[in-house]
Amino acid sequence: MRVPILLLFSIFVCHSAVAAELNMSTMYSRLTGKRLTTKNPLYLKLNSFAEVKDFNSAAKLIAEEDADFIDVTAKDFSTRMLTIDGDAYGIFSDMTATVMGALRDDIDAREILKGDFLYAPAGRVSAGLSHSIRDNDLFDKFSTAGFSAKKYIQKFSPQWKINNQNLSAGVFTSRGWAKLYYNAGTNRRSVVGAMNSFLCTPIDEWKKRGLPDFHIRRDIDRAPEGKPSTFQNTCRTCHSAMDGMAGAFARLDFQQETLIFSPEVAAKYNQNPGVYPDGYITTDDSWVNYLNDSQGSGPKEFAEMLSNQEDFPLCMAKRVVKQLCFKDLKMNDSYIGSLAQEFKMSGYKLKQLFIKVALSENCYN
Amino acid sequence: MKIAIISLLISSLAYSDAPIFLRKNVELLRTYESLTNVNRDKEIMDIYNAGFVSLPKNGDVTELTDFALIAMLKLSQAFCHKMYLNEVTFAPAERWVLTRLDLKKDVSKWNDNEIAELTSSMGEIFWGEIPDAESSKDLSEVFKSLSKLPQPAAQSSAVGLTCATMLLSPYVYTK
Repeated sequence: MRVPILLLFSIFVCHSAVAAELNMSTMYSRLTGKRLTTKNPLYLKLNSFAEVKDFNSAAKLIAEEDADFIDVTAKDFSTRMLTIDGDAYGIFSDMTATVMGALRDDIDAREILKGDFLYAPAGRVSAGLSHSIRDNDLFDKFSTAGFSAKKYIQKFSPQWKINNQNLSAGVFTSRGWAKLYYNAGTNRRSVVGAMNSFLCTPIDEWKKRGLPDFHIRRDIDRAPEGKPSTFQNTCRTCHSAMDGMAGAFARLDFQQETLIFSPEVAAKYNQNPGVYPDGYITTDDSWVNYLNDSQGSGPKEFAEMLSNQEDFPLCMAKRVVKQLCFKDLKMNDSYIGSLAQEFKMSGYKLKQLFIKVALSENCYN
Repeated sequence: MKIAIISLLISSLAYSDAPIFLRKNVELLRTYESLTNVNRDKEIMDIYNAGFVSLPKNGDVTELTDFALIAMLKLSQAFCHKMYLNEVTFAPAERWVLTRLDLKKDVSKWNDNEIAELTSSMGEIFWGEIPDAESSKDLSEVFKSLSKLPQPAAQSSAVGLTCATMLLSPYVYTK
């Protein structure tokens, strides 16, 4: 073992003696996850850009041409953004594929939340399978076979042929999201997930005292362990806003591995009525956001509201910086603010945001 | 082992302003694929999946554990072995890395120039530069030790494990 350790030492000291500066190898590594070699098909072009210090063209080339920008980096970005607790081990699904596809095709990122489309593998690699509300087989087999998503995923619009109820709302009506957030429970988790994924706001940051408790459902005890103060000081701070918004998902459910679009309110919304019979009875999919005094009906309008929040571009900028630069900056950081502004100006194009961050000096120091 | 490696990483940061991060699990897989020009197959994926939870998940240097290094070594060895088998199959000019070597020649009879050719060729592809004198000397010692194994194991081991040693380098697993 002595030789490898000595070897590691000598190699590493030499390696790290290079001063910090934007160089092609590092930028390539950050964008694709892998090491740039002289054998890389893009190497000569990238080298010619490097000679004239045209890193902008180089970054664009990498983002457009190298499959691993989508297959590795965008997949990791998408998985961490959309799964509970940013779990990087989340599976490939219609939910993650939709973010990857939108990134690849440079679609307005707000459409990821509200558009009537999904991305899924198609063509010969799908082996006769198609994306389904009933299973994840297509994505599982595609993933196991190691096919390139950049090459083989396609946009499907409308999302689901069975759905004629105008409920489609980007990832919120994907099977992947449904499995995470509409499976059992009360669909309140979907609000928490949405706020966390797209506004980078964990529940601890948006719970608030004094909001109306009108929408808090009947299944929430108003005096846990006989103490009304516990409800007022603890439960209500989260449930006022959460239950107000959760109405958006009232016609969505996930049962027996299947995403369900229901013409009626899902039974789980009115379960355990005896806990507090005077609580809110959900009769439709209207929602209220007491945090910004907005309201609407169904997941699409909820997604519209969410994607127009000032925190949405800030959150995307924060996530891309974390992905490429390994920096967990605050939303009020001036660098995040300027990236968010440019992201908005670009028409919410995630690919351009990735390129911008990859080119930024702030990413490397 | 873990403490030694982390200490090396941290102490070396003093030489550079740029923070260093580890490649994450699938990034390592793709890096090994692209460096060796070997496509993943079931055998490689079994090794990858077996070591998956040990490989870095978030890219932080604290994830460089002895288990992570062992998982990387197993994975890089699998890629290198397959790369060697590919290289032997092709005529020198059509090979990925070792285009100027006679791989049929008994490795125990390779001279210093041939060993240097091997390490510099791999260095160019894997590290983006030819190993310096000190690293070349160490790698040469690794190769010579392995070439003393009985044949036919020596042939693939000397080339394959020297390759794996080079892949198990911060050049490769950091970004």
